[in-house]
This record gives sequence, C-alpha cells and structure tokens, in this order.
Amino acid sequence: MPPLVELAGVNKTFRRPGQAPIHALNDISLTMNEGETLALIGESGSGKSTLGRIILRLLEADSGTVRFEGTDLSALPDREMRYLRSRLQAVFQEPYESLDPRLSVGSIVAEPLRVHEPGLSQAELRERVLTCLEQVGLPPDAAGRKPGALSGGQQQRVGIARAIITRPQMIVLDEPTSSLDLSVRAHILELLAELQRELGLTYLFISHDIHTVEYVSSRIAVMYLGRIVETGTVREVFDDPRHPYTRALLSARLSTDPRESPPQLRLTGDIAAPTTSHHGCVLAGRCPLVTAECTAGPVRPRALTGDHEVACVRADETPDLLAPAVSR
Amino acid sequence: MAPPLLSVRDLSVRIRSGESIVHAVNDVSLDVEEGEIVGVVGESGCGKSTMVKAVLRLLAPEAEVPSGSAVLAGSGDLLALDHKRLRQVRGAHVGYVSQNPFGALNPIYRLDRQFHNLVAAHRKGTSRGESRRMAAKMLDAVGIAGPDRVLDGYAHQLSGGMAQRVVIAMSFLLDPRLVIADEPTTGLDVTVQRQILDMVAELARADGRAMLLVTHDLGVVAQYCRRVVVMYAGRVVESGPVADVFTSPRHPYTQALLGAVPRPGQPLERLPGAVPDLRVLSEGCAFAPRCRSAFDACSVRPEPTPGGDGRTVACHLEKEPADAAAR
Ligand SMILES: Nc1ncnc2c1ncn2[C@@H]1O[C@H](COP(=O)(O)OP(=O)(O)OP(=O)(O)O)[C@@H](O)[C@H]1O
Ligand SMILES: Nc1ncnc2c1ncn2[C@@H]1O[C@H](COP(=O)(O)OP(=O)(O)O)[C@@H](O)[C@H]1O
Ligand SMILES: [Mg+2]
Ligand SMILES: [Mg+2]
Repeated sequence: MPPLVELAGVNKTFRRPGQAPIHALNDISLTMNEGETLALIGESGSGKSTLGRIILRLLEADSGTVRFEGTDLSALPDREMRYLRSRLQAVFQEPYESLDPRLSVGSIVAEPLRVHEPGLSQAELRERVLTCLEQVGLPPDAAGRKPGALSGGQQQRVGIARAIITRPQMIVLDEPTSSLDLSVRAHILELLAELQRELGLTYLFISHDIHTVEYVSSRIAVMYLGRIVETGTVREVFDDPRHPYTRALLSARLSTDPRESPPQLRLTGDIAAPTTSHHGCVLAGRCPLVTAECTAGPVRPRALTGDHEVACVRADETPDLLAPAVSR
Repeated sequence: MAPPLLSVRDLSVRIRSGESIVHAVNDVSLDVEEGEIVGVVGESGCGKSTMVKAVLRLLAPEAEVPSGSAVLAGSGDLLALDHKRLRQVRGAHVGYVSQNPFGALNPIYRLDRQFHNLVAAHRKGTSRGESRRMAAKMLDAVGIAGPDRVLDGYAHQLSGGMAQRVVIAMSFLLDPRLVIADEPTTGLDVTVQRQILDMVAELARADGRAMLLVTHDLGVVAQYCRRVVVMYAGRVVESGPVADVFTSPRHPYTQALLGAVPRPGQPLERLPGAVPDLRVLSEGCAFAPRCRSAFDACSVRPEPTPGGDGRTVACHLEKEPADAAAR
C-alpha cells in the first residue's frame, strides 16, 4: 500500500514584484503513513505552515510531487479534488483569523458539512453540530454565540470542531493547542487521540511545544530555513538528536522549576534570511561544528539507524562534540 | 520605596453577551515594579486578556468597567485619562503585544509604513529613514533575519511567529517603561522565544524596563518572571515571588495548575470538573466545586490575604489549615 501522503523534491518560492524572492521550501521529501501522527517542529518561519498548506492544496508547489494514496494530485480533475478536500481538513494557527467573526459558532462548524454533505436536513445539521461541540468540550449554547465572545481557548475548540465534522482522513493541525492552558490542552490532545483511534485519522501536527510533540507524535520532522534537517521516531530524535539545530532546539526547553536551568546550546552568528539561496548546509553560518565540507555542496538527508535521517555531514560525531547532552 | 510602575486596584470588567452578563474580571489588584517581569497565568477563559485590555482601554464596546484603577507612574490612572492623553501614553509609555498578532497589524499598509506611523505619532517630524532604522534595529533584536524584506512587505506574507515578533518589535520601538504582552511567544520556537525573553530580561535589568506577561508557558514564568499572578474565574487567587509560588504553591488551583505540567511517559493531568461559568457571580469560592480540599467555609468567598512574605493567597485553608486538614 502506498503511503497516505508522499512529497518528493518539493520547492516553494514566494515571489513579490521588485523584491527578493523568499525560498520557503527547498527540496522537501516526506512520507506520512495512514493513522500516524507526524510532528513538524522547527524554527519560526522555516516553512512548516507552508508545507502544511501545500499538503492541503491551499498552495501549489513550484516543483516536485505531492501524492495522496499514490495519486499525483496535480493531475486530479476538479471534481475529485473537491472530494479530496473533504478528506483533508485543517486547524490553523490563528483561530481569530480563520473564524468569521460575523457568523455564529453553529454556522461556522456547520459550514464544511453544508459544502460536503449538502443533502442533510436542518435538523440533522443541528444534531451533528451539537454533537461536535460537545465532543470538543463546548457548551451547547456556544452554538448561538459569535467567536468574538469566546476566549482564545474556546475559539480553538471551535476550529477543531469544524475540522472533525466532515470525518476527514487527515488533519493538518497547525499549532492547535498553543493558546490553551495545560489542562484544556490535555483534554484536546486526548480528544484528538480518541478520534484518531476511532476513525483512523492521520495527523500532521505542527507545534513549537516540545512537551506536547513528545506526547502526541509517532514520528518527528525538524525544519530549519526551508529544509527538513532531521526525521525519525520520537525517541530517535529526542533521545539522540544528531543535527546541531535539533540539539540547540531541544536544549532551549525551559524547566518549570525555577531552581533549575539546564545548560542551553546556543547558536551564535547571524540567522540567514530565506531570501538567500544556500549552496551547502543551511545552518553553516551558525553551526559550531562547521567544516569546509558543509559549504562545498548540497547536504542531503542520509539514513542512520532505523528511521533516523539527518542532513548533516558530521551527524556521527555530533553527540560527542556538542555539549550539553540533551537527552533526558 | 518608589511606587510601583503599574498599580492595578480592584479592577472589574463586565461584558454584555446577549441576555447575560459575563463577569470576566473581578476585583483584580496587582503591581508591576520597575525592572521586573510579572507573569499572569490561569485557565483559558479566566479573564487574562480582558484584564489586560481593560488596563490599556482596549475593551470592546459591550464591555464596561464598573470599578477599579490602573495607575501608571508618571501618567496617572489609565482608566481616567482623556483620549488625547491616552493616545500619548499608549505606545510611548506602555507598549502592548496583543494575543492575536495579525489583528494588530494593518493588512493593507506595508510594514515600514506602520512602523513609521507609530513613531511619527509620538515623535513629530521623524523622517522615514530614521523610523526605518529604528524598526530594522528592533526587528534584528527579535531575531528576524533580513529586516528589509519584512519592512518592504505586508502582514500576510509573514509566518505566525514572524508576525508575533513584528508586534513585539513595535511594542518596544519607542522604549516604553512597561510592555504588557498577552501570550507573546506561543507561536515561536523555543530558541527564538529565549532570544526575545533574554532581550526583555536585559532591558529590565539594565534600564529598569518592566513587563506584564500573560502566558500559559509555566517554563517561561519559572525562568524569566520575578513574580507571578495566578487567576481563576476572573480573580487573583494567588500571587507572589515565582521562586516561592512555584516551589510551594498554596492555593489548590495553583497546585493543580503546576501539577498539570506534562511529565514524559506519564498521562497528561487534567483538572476535573467544569470550567466556571462567568455569567454567575458566585458567592463562595469559585474554585470550590473543583477543589479537593473544599470545606464549609468555602461557601463564603475568601479575600486575597497578604502573608507578609510578599505572597497573597485567597483561600480559607490559609486561616484554618489545621482545621481543614482534620476534615
Ligand atoms: N504569501 C506569502 N508571501 C510571501 N512570503 C510568504 C508567504 N507566506 C509565507 N511566506 C514566507 O515563507 C516563509 C515560511 O513561512 P511559514 O508560514 O511556512 O513558516 P512557519 O514555519 O509556519 O513559521 P511559524 O513557526 O512562525 O509559524 C517565511 O519566511 C514567510 O515570511
Ligand atoms: N466580547 C465578549 N463578549 C462576551 N463575552 C466575552 C467577550 N470577550 C470575552 N468574553 C468572555 O470573558 C471571559 C474571559 O475571556 P478572556 O479574557 O479572553 O480569557 P483568557 O484571556 O484568560 O483566556 C470568557 O468567559 C469569555 O468568553
Ligand atoms: Mg506557521
Ligand atoms: Mg487570552
């Protein structure tokens, strides 16, 4: 069986008249299997949301292929594309941005159903919406309220309700829990896990919250400046991070105990702008392990043991050379 | 002793919502001293954003402030300022980072123009070149590589975390003494988050700048805040130095909050029971229905009681710990 989603050599550049083009994604290859949760973590602005939007077909890749269950999506006729859209849903980073402030919560949640199951009666629609609101922990009277009357956390629940109402196959969750407090977050994560078990959902989970990622995902991909620099199972990446950026990222986690502050691996040097093209490794300008080889040519991901892949010429030496060790 | 930089007293906010009234903020008092970062934590929906917006006079028209004051040293009670004076103070003396960065940015103007308008509103005659230099410097400080491409572009071209950083850069642009930030770093990766917080900490240490920081990230509070204010159902239930509150929380809600920190390999902790309905103003302790230690005294609302050690706790267990433990 082909993987559910397969990206190969995907590039995306945003061009603006009279200005330097922004290389948002460079040579991205990635597979996702049915029923798994793949977490996408990494630098802010590194292309995570762009990648999510390309999978959702909200954006067109400049080159490379995106396959869904083995079918190249760019070749699909419109009607099938529309069906596919109902199988692919999203919860976005900014609830305020994605919820129409003029509509009631009930209509917002019902919207995808109106589009994809137009045969439903008013009563059926209402029923589905209320069930859905209950599933995400909103009171029934939320249906009549406007998003503006809800707190950030409650708005995020509306977004999740809207995504699950069409019973999709895959959901791109772009920082779905970052505005929620820990307790509400735990409820939502549990709900997502439950839905995944029941419906065999596949999640692309974009997040900056490393604790959450560790809890929810089976595999992880780490992005830096438009590239995937490391992939592997949660344990491979968290217990034995081999890319210097991954190590820096994981070591920057903050302890909730004011008495302890574990050592942080800091990357110094200027952060490169996505307007520059890179011949070699994207981290070279800031990497403590940089050698001549790093800038000599493209640094492609290579396989270590198991599922672990790292785009670093010194991946084998990283753990010995880079203190602090960051595995727990 | 110098008066606090910001002193909020007995602040309440009610919001009309259809037939009902939401008591979003109730009798909140808190201080921010010069040179400190004060964290505000609490459940989603407990009134943190509403409290902050009330202080900055940015509430929606359906909200009203029946009581309270928010005195900014040297500027007076923000809640009583006329609009002209308010506009002078906001931006120049107190910066604001809203929870929704895209909402704070204008979608149709280029960002360099938005930075310029901000500067020019407070410093008449500033040239475009000058405001651009200021903006570029600030964007660089918040970790944005190649500020020019941001300044020459529009808000929708930014990633979530970049928009957040642009808003943070704007809030610090005119070097205000206080910045009020509502979940400013949720969309940032931890390395960038630390870079920005290190910058804020340095401004606080070296120049006496201060920040009121609303966040769900207890790690941020633990590592960067000097004091913390814990809110539940629109009220302050506990406040004090982070070093004390986080190591020995006294209010049962604070204990539950800190207990919910995920531990690898263990199931996530959740607070049992329903989120409080802010449409009813409870006579007793709002946390009692979910509290493991609730006893009969909790049917009367506990007042926030200063303990002398800089900590304040609003809980009846404080007065009768032995008594309550015996039950
Ligand atoms: N419509 C657009 N026009 C121009 N540039 C864009 C556009 N959308 C995204 N970009 C740029 O592409 C890059 C990647 O953005 P993206 O939103 O994918 O980042 P991200 O990894 O999701 O970041 P964050 O963690 O901050 O949300 C950024 O440099 C961003 O400014
Ligand atoms: N415009 C509004 N109309 C009605 N209720 C509102 C409005 N804004 C906020 N509320 C309510 O006020 C309470 C506090 O919200 P908020 O301050 O956003 O919480 P927090 O920032 O702590 O998550 C919530 O119960 C929310 O539903
Ligand atoms: Mg994003
Ligand atoms: Mg809020």
